[in-house]
Amino acid sequence: MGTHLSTQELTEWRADTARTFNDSCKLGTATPGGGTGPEADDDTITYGDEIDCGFVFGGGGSQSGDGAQLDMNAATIRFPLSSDVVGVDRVQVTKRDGTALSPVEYYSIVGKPKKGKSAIVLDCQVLKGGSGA
Amino acid sequence: MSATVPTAYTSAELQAFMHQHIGSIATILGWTVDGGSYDEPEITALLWCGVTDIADETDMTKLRALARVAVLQQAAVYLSTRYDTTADGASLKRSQMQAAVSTMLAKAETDALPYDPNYALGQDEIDYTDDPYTRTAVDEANEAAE
Repeated sequence: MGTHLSTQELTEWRADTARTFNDSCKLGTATPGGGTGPEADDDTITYGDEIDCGFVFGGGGSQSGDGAQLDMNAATIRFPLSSDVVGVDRVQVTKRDGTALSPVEYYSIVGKPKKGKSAIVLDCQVLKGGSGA
Repeated sequence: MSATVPTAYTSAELQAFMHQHIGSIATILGWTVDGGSYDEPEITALLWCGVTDIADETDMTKLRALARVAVLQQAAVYLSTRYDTTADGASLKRSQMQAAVSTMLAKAETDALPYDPNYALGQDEIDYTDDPYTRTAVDEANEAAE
């Protein structure tokens, strides 16, 4: 049996990680609307309370068929391990480094949340428009 | 604003001084005066001062210097498990906190050296039993013959 990190070490690690979350976010869950067509866009998004988060603009790119570089507007947002991200569909970034964003930014979530040792990581992509719905 | 230079310390006042002295390190470690975080450093400082009642220590410079060392020693121990970590897309150079406290501790220890009884300097007469330069009767006789 190997030597494992103690509960105390993990607690300190997670607390130190959470201390680097200088941004604020709201997590949103979608309630499907009644639309059924291919362009149905009537979901209702309900956002929770503002919580601490760590935002990093990934700026990921992808090459198109003709060789042009496309900005994917990717972002990575980290949350404390205690955050409830089950069923979350959207992230609203409300503050960066304590400064309120106006307008706030909306992101969709790409893939599943990654729950690691010290944080929950959401890979995101910026959404155009105001509501994010 | 005006500061009052202390001429005596209560336990609570000395602990408040130590809490203020380590600044945001106290926040990181979750130390509070009310929570008893500074009880042990205070005991250590008083033992170094050679008193068991804080009211008996009248040298405020000495008390503060030794309290700084005691509290920084404890902080260095508690921060020793804050090694660098990398996980979940973040690298934390947590050992910088340990390094900073160690630097502050070394400075505090240097400042407190005059109050360390093990470092006290003094002078005393030394009586050599086998001193090769001691004048003997032969020396006296030779000198008289010259």
